Amino acid sequence: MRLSRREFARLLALSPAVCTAGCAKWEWEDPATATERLVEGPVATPLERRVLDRLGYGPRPGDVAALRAQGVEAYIAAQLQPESIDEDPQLLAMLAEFDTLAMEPEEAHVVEQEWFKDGVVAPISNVLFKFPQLYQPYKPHVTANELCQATAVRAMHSRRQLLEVMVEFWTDHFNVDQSKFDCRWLKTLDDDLIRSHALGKFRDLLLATARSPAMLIYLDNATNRKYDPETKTPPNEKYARELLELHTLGDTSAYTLTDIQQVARCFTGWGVEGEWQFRPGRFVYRADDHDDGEKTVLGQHIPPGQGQGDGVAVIDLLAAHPLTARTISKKLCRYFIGELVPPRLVDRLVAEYQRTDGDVRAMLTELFASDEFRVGTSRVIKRPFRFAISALRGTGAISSCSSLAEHLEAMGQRPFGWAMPDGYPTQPEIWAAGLTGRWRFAIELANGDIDETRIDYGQLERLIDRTDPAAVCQRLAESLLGTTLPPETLASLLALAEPDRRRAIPQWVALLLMAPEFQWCA
Amino acid sequence: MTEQSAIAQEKLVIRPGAGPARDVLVTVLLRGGMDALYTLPPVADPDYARHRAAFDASATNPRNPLKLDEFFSLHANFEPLAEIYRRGHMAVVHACGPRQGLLSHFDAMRLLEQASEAEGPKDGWLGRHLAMQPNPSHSPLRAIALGNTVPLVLRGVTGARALDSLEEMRIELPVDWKPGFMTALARLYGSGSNPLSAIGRGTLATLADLDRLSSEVGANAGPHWDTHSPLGRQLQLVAKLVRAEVGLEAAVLTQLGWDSHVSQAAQIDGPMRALAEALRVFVDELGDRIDRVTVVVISEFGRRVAPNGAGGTDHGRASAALVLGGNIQGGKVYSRWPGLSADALDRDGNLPVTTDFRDVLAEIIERRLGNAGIDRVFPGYQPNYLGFTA
Repeated sequence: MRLSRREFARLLALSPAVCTAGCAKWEWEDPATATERLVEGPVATPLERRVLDRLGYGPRPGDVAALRAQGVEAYIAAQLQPESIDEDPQLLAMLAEFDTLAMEPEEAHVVEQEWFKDGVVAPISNVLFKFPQLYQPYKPHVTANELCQATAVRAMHSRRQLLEVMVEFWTDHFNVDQSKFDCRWLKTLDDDLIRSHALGKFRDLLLATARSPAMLIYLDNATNRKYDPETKTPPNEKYARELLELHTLGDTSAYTLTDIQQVARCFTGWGVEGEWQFRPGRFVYRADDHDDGEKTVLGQHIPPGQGQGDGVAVIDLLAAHPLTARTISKKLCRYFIGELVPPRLVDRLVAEYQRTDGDVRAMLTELFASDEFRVGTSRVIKRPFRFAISALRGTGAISSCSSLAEHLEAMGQRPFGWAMPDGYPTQPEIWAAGLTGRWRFAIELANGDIDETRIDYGQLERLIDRTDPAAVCQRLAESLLGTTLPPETLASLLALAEPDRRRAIPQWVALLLMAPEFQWCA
Repeated sequence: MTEQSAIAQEKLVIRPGAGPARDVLVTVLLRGGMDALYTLPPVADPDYARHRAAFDASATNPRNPLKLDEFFSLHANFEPLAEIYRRGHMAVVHACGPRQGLLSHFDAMRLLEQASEAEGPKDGWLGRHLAMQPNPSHSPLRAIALGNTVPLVLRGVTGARALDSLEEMRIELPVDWKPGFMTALARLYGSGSNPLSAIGRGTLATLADLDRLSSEVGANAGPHWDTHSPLGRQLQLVAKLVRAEVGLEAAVLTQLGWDSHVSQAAQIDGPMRALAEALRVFVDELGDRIDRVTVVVISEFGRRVAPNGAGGTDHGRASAALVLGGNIQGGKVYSRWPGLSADALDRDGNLPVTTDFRDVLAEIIERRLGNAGIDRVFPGYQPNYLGFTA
């Protein structure tokens, strides 16, 4: 449950000293000290910065010093074992406030209905069609909102940064559009499944998503039944199609339409409890709907009478397929190294996948140790989510993230809001057009105009009173961009410090977040 | 030059000047499946009354003044389109749509936006077209989707963006920030090898254009805008951008509400009126500029010929397309009409598609948008032009 505006205002009003005693949810850090650390401590090496930017959502004030103390190798090793990292108890306390995160779908459904009765949201799209005055962009509901907010809060505060990055990776790979029918509350469970397998075996994750009610509804397998001779309705091929093309094999020339149809038959009867859409649901296997005849998938014979075993056999077959190893390897490279995928590294990741039965952790270990990752020059653009979170982290902001989904929507990346099965794209050229949205966000953040979010400039203001503004500006640039500004650019920023040095600080912060360098991972 | 290399290279910004030499293409996607037998009824078809009379009495009124020709009529809710049609600025393409069989909305809309075969490109036809065109201005308003997300149809090109209002394209500084802020921002994007630098400069130039626009055009373009309809408000924005010459080449709008399974008249009368009124005012507002604009209105499928038991219609096949513009040979219905007899319909009782929607799009893209590489926009498809372009 999000904090009310009043509660939040009360928390913000508390001084840091009082806060340590009274407000567990918000005492992440003394934010004033945090912003001071923006201009103290060591400057990140390119590798340190790359690790913080790509294995996580960018450095917070103080993170470079902590990484330096721990050492890059130890840091990467720990991130690969998230269960070995004690999670921030205050993050856990805050997540506990989101009631729907732990709800069974049935409960979440009840919550949705109550909200509807209160007139907060409309239940189904058809109602909108009948009442044109309600024609507005679809407003997700409480469960969906809480998941979006929790996702942002985790990315902002979790010590298990790589885990959160990998959850985002798989969320795209196994895309589910939260706005499709029941997915608005079933995506929460789907997110749990992804999180629990994000660094595990690919096969387990694939099977979990195949049985995820949100996926079953999103890709229509909930209505995939054996051939109906009366209505002449064949099995629904949608899930089979995306399973082969997007989730596993990738190469559409590696299979035929017949393979798709055979796979669809294998998954007949894999559905969701409840009779039709707009009902709560869990995974259910309906034997009556299953086509129990024999099948052949990619040349492999699947004997009759296997029931639910058909689908499991397909999952096993696909997870063990060399093309699947290649699909996942290439995608990991695109995600962590950039669009120019290094072919030799892909080969090594494929080998690692095959050696370890698709162990994601092992593949990432190989990837992060590679020269291609450590000294490569390929760029990774920050998509809007990463841009916003890294801006919040980089400035030491405190935020409930309650309005972040709206800002992300304006920038084109509402969490869980991609309609097509292929997930939000990674190509820089797709995101390049959205600079205005990023600029607006940076200005609003720096100026304290984002709901329940603020940056405490107190320490920086006191510092600039007694320090050369140019030195403060350059240290801010090093912290946020990893580089100092060229003389002409510096001069244009310093002009903002006359006559009032203090007023320059939020403007500098905004400008540095708006700068082209901040739009890319190091 | 590919998209990838275009962004990877530093390029000088060339101002858009007098705007694109080719038409601005405005695409309106009617989501849900428009019942063209209802909106554009074939009143003279001998089987029409049998199927639809009880359901749709008004349109079969012999004194109906909204005749398109001796065969087709306009539903009364489309009355605002009648004058545009008479002026010759609107053509109707009937029995049009994707050729594939019965589909879900999701799949049918994907087909409409990708316009490729299953193994073909995964981006959108409009994105593919734009990616083939030169883009010297880097205008962030070159290709826009009105709303919050960039639809599939625009994927495949650099710089397509969602835009819900001009406010999103305005950078408003806090009152106590200094004017030198924008100078500093320009400086940050003015040098260096960052691939975003050219795009940043294009964005800054467009922001300046839009400042000019807001003073020239004003907040409200005219007294008769139906701003209660999202489509009307969005088309208003498109008209402003066309007039302002900020480098707009393509705009995509979406109208919901056409999925009329239940109580069809109550359900789609509102969307019909909103669409027709928004288009009429859009055309009025453009004035002479209509000569540089083509509008195409398409839907993912039509409806079953026989109404269902709930006063509605279920998913069918052929729908219709509307094409509007100053250089359209309008005032005419382009149709290879299949007829509504039992023999003419498919086995599920649907009107078959006799004009592939790609025929309509390809003619516009080649003849009005000047793209000679239609085979790359619609790979593997040989379009047949209907000849509605002047």
